Amino acid sequence: MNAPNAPQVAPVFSTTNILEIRNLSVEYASSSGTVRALNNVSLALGRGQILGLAGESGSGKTTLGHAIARLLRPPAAITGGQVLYYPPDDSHRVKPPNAPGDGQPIDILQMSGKQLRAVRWSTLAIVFQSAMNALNPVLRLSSQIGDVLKAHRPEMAAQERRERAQELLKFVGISPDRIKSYPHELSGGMRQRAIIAIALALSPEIIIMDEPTTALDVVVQREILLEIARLRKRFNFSVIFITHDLSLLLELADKIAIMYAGRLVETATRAELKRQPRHPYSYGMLHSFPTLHGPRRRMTGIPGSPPDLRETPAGCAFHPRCPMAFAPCATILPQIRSSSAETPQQLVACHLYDSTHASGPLPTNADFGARYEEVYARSSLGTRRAVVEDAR
Amino acid sequence: MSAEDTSVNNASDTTSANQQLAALSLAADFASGPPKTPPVLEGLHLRKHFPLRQFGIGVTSNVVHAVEDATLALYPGRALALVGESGSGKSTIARMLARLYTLTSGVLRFEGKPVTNDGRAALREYRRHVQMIFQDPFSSLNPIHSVRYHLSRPLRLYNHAQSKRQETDKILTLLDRVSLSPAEQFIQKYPHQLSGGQRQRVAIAQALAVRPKVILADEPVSMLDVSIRLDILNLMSALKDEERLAFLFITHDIASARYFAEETMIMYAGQVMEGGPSDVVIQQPKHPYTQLLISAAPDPDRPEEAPFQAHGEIPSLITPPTGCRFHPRCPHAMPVCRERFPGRTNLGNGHWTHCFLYGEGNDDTAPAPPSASTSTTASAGHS
Amino acid sequence: MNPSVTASPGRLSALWRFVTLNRKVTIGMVIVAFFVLVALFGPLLVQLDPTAFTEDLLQPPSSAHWLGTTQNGQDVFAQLIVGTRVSVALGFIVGILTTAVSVVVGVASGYFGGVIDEAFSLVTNVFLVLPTLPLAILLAAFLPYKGPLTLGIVIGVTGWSWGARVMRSQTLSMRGRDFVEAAQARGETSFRIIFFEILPNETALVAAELLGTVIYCILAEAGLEFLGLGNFSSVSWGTMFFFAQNNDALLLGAWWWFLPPGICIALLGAALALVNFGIDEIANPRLRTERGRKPSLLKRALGVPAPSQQLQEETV
Repeated sequence: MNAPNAPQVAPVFSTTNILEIRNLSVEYASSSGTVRALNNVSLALGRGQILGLAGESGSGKTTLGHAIARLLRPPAAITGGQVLYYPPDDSHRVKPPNAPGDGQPIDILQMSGKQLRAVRWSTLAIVFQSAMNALNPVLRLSSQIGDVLKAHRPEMAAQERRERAQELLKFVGISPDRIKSYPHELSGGMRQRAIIAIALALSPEIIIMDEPTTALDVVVQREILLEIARLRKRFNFSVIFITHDLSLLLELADKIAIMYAGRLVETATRAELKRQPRHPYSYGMLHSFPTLHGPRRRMTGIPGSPPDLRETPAGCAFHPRCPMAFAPCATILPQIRSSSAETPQQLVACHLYDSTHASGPLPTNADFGARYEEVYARSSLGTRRAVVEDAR
Repeated sequence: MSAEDTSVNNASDTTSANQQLAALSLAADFASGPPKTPPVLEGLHLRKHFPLRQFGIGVTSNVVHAVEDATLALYPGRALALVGESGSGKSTIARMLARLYTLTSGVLRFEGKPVTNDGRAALREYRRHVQMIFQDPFSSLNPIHSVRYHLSRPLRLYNHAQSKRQETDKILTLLDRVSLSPAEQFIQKYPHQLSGGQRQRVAIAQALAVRPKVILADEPVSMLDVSIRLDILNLMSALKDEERLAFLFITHDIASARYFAEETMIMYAGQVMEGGPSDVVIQQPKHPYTQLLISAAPDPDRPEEAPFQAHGEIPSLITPPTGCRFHPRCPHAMPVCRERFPGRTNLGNGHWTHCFLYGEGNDDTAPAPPSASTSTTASAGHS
Repeated sequence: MNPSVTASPGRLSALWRFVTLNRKVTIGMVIVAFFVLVALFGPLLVQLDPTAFTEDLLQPPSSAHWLGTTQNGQDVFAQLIVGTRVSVALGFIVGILTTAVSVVVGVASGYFGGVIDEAFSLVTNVFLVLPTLPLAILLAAFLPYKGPLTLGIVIGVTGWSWGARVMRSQTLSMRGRDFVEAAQARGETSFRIIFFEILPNETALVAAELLGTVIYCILAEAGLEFLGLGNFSSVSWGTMFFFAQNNDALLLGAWWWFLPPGICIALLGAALALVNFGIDEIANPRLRTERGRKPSLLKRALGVPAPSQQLQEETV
């Protein structure tokens, strides 16, 4: 696979997308100047697709989730870009008022208050990181679900609301007789399911989930993830799943977008990413999770630590930690582009795939692995380990 | 420490306790062959109940049955991973070993000698050798004190530095050992100026300051960014080998247990379920709970539609299920499982479990000896 | 070895940074400092006798008597200066002692728990329930000896319990923090943990309490003296009010008699409150209206990272 033939243009969006984020930037003011939490991020979410957003602290993934839903509060502010929503054609879906007809997208960021209210929850629902605290401790589940229905569907009768609430609990695997429970009477896993049930109340088309399972035990986490996958198959909504746990996404997501220091560094399908990650950071992340099976080997992780957004390195933000870094990385910001002619949909922001900077074959897993190990061996920890293992 | 010594000490009134100890150590010596190196810290039949204060007439006070009959041993230069979900009792065991909690029953043995409650000086000496690293790097360092202060405290407490200059030298050396370089820069920083990974390194340096023999690490990397977790684990592994530390590694992530520790013990709701060499426990899990845990753990190599069955939830520890606490959720539960908790069944190779599926459990509950191969984390290139 | 390695930020420079950090704190502290200076040196510099009778009865401010005279011809300005010493001294001393008692009781309760907690909490709760000002009035009225000492005791006895409660809660929450457990696991003594690990983290709370108590003491003292429960022969802001009231200063339009002490009390109270607000702002970034600079001891104690970092951790 050679770089020179790789297309250099920005990615093309197809019309089967339900949400398109274009050049979104978010900044917030701080005492030491403005900090760019998100920098020119462009992504597309297909209908019925699970898009995984992976990143560590400072990557901007949570900011992105909040920005899409217009939940950012000062001093954070959106400074550019669009979030285009493509309303579906089926007539029984409630369309936001004043929506242009026939497949024309609406920019969520430009929506008026009325349009936004119509869109919120009936089209776009959110499940937050601290979802377990999002439940009002003094209200029963029936009231919490009922409130949502009352607010957005005032025409529903009380009986209808009750039935819908029970139906929702059944969807998420909570037995309907818990409808009268208070949040403190539910376990952590059940509270999370309740939050998902509330999110589903109006049959939204898009659900943004921000670390929904992070605080849960392993077994419960697996159950919730399976539940989400089941619900997605049944109701065909799209999900943006934000998490730091890339290994989860490799099992759950259709498409995965990896972020670093406020920028998108790679977008790929699950299979493409597993087969051949393009960005050195992606490779590093994939190999930062100890394996359950396979040979027990020393793993190197990624040297250094995620940057402070107040002082991002010049050029590519990852270059100080990158074992593949070369001349242009410290000064020129890489643009996101197709990685190769063979995998045109796998996008990466890295000079290694830019024919104006790099020529020759594209790096393989073996190349990445070898360079990471080299860096590790030269590090202080690596030399110490060599001494110890020689002594054995 | 042989059986004769304990029987000689029996002359005083603490006969029954000492006899019990003698019986256990005899059993250890006879049943599983001589260990390669004796354990440096053991917990035998540890049990911890937390009383709940309740007011009211005619209300019997309730108890949280946090740990029931756990036995474990830590050997120099080896790590034991304690894996479990919330409520499993793993953190409680760590705090019992650190003597932050008193034992409801059971015995601690340090270097073969039982640990008794005889006064401040003995406790200090114990603490010097058994140090702890906490989970949350953002709250385990006091925000108003500098790195220098944090690292100088243990040195001063145990008189490891004769002068200010020597203290500074030792601190700088410690910082270098945990890869916080340049050390001169870090010594005067405050916790809020450090990242999570750096704070955790300071916590590790603090634990190492007075050359302890045992490190109890309570989920040391769970709150760190993914890309730096391996760095910290590798650092701890290197220190374990260099200093011949006995490590207790508590985690909810069974994959990192496999990566870091030679042995793994699985706990559920305060009871010990299975244990043995890490790879054996993970590749051939015997206990139904271990199997559930492994099938629930993220595994990118797992085939797409692998079945996953789970019901129920972690039980309350105030009114736990009788017998084996996993029985309400176990697909293979038998009537006997409700009646009593099974004893240990040895499965060979140092692998053991507590499950009626594999036997009545009449094997001894002595701490498992180190496995035959001492080098179980091979360097790159081996498999 | 580079000597700069061993230097730690000086306490004095940390204090300076704190004072200049927040405008409210600066203004407040300037005013408080002014009053303290007047209290300390005022009577020495002003060589007038506040109790001397002159022939200028009830004169408005003039060049001879800067703030006019009282009914008995006494110089109001002199009284004000001398009175500052009594009021400020009593306020601060009683305030500090009361706060000290609150801290000891509250922290001991919170840290040790068990029987000590039960006993101290019982005492605290009893004192909390007693109505403060009525009790103060009663005690002052019935105690045989009238004077600053009595007032001090009365105010102290009725004012410590609220602070103790607050300190107890804060200490309880601190005790659950990892670094306290870590200190115990390290082998630190309880004394060391309380005074070097927990209390420094509660500096903001103690400072706020101290300021609040001092305000309360000054006001209570003035109030009790105004009611006639103080020692008439001593000169303080409160007794000035008492005499002004008794001699119908308001009716006679002698504003120069009661307005100056009133303004002084209000000013000092406001200044202390400003410093209190300033500390609150440093503690809680959401209350901040201005940009902060490098974190001081207080900010470190409150675990406050720089605003942008905090946002980064929250939102990203």
